[in-house]
Amino acid sequence: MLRSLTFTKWHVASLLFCLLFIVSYVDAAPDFKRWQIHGFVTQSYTKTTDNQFYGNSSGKGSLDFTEIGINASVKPFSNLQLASQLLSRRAGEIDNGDIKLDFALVDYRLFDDTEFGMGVRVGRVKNPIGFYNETRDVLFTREGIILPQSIYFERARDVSLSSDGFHFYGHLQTPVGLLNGQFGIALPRVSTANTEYALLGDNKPGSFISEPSFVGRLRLDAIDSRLSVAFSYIKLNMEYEPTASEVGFSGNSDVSFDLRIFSIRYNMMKWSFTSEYAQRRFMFTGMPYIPPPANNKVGESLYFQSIYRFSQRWQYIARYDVLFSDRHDRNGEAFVAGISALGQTVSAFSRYAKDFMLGVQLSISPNWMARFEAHSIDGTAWLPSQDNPDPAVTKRYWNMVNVAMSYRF
Amino acid sequence: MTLGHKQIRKQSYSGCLLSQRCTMVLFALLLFFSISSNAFSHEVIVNSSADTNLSANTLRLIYSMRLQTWSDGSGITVFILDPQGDAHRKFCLEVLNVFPYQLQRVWDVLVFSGTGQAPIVVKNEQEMIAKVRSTPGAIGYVIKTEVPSDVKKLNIH
Repeated sequence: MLRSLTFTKWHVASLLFCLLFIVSYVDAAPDFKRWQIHGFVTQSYTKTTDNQFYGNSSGKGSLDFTEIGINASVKPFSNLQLASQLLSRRAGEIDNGDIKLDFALVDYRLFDDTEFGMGVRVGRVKNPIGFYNETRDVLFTREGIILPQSIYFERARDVSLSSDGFHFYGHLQTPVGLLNGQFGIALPRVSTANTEYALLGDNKPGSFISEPSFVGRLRLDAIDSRLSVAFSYIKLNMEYEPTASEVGFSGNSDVSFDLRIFSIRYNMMKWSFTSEYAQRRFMFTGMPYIPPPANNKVGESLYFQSIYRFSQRWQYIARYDVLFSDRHDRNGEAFVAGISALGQTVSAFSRYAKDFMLGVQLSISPNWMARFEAHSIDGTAWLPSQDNPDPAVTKRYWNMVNVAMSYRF
Repeated sequence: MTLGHKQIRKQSYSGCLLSQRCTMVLFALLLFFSISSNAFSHEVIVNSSADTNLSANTLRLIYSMRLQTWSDGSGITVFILDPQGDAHRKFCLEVLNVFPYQLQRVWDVLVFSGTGQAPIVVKNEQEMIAKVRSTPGAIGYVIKTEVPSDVKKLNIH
C-alpha cells in the first residue's frame, strides 16, 4: 500500500511537471473536442486435462478468465496527447479482478515529418516488447486466446507489462522501409506477489523494490509493407528487501532480468506468418532462495505461427511454441540432478514446455469476435505456480481447450 | 471518342469486315469505361487548410496515424469509411498498398496502448465529403462519388 502510494505521487508529480513544461511552450488555445473513449470485455472458458490454467480448469472447466478495460484519450494540441486506461483482469489465482492503472501518459511530439519524427512519453507507459506486449490483454489485438506462453508467459507478466518513466520514440524513413524505435528508462511494476511467484517461485515475506531499468525496441516495416522485423531488449532491475524473519541474507539482494527478442512477420492477403525468438537471463545476487548455479540461467523461447484468412468472417491459426528454462539443459535433467543432490525432488518436465495449438476465429462484426482453440502440451515450464501449488501432482502431457467471446468499442 | 466514331464510319464506308468494326466499338467502349471509372475512383480529398501534394509514403504514415501534423504544424484529422466495407478495402489495397487488417491492427494497438487515436468512421461518401469540407486539417477519400469542385483533391506523387 505504502509503495503504491509513493509511486502514485511520483507519477502525478512528473505528469504535472511535463504538462506545465509543454503548455508553457505553446501559444495556441487547447482544443478539448478531440477526445475518444474505447474499451473491451472478454470472457473466456478454459478446460484442461490434469494441470490447472486460469482457475480450476481440469474439472468442468473454468470461467475464471475475464478481461475488462476502458481508456480515454484527448488531444488538446496537435502534438500533445493524454491517455489513460484502467484494466480489470480475473485470471485464476494470478489476478483477482482488481482495477489497475494500466497506462497513464502524456505523449508530446517534438518533431513530425514523413522522413523523421520523434517524441516523448512520460508516465506509466506500456513496455514495447516483441509484437504483442503493449496490447496483450485485448483479444482483438493478440493472436489466439492465449499468446505464445514461451514469451508472453503469465509468470513474468506484471514486471513486463508497463513501467513508470520516460520513453523516447521516433521514426526514420530509410531506403528499405520505415524504422521505428522506442526507448525507455523506467521503474518496472514489481509490487505484487506475482513478481515473487515469477522470480522466486513462491510468495516470500519480503518484497521487491523496482530500480531504474531499460526498455527498448527497434522495428523495421519494409517498404512493401509486407515484411516486419523487430529487435526488443529489456533489462529490468529489482532489489529484494527481506524481512527480519528471513535468514541467510547479507548485503544487497538484487535480481536482474535481461530479455532479448527477435521478431519477424510476413503479411499476405490471406496468410500471415509470425515468428519470435527470445533469450532471457535471470541473475540473482545475494539471494539465498536461488543459490548458485541456479542463480544465473539463460532461458530460451521460440514460436512459429501462421494465420489463414479464409473469409472476412473466418480465420484459422496454427502455432508451435517451445520454452526451455535453461538453454544449456533443455531436457531439465541436469537441473533434476542438482536438486536431487540437495535431497529434494523436482520433475524434469517443469523445465520445458512444447505447445502445439490450432484455432479458429469468427468475426461477427467490427465490435464482436469469438475464438476457439485447442492445445496439446508437453511440459509445464510456463504453468503458473499460483494455480498449481503442488508441482508433484502436475502432469507432463496435458491438453487445453479455450473458448473466448469479446466485445470492443 | 469522336475520333473513334469517325474511324468506324470511314471503315464501314470502305466496306471493312464486321469483326473489325466490333473490335473498334469494343475498344471505344473500354476507353469510355476506363476514363469514367478513373474520374470517380480513389479520390483522396483534403480540407482547404491542408497540404495538397503528398507522397504515397506520407499518405501511408497519415493513415497509420503516425504522422499527426501537416507541414504548417496544424493537426491532421483522418476520416475513413466503414473499415469492413469494400470501398475502404479498395482504398487500402490500391492507394495505401497495405492490407486492411494491417491498418486495423495499427489503430487498435495505438488506441489500447494510449499512444494514438483511431481515425473517425463516417457513414457514407456524402458524409465523408461534408466532414472533410468542414473540418480544418481533415483528410478522407471517396471511391464512387464525384468530388464537388469546392473540395480539394490530393495529388499523390
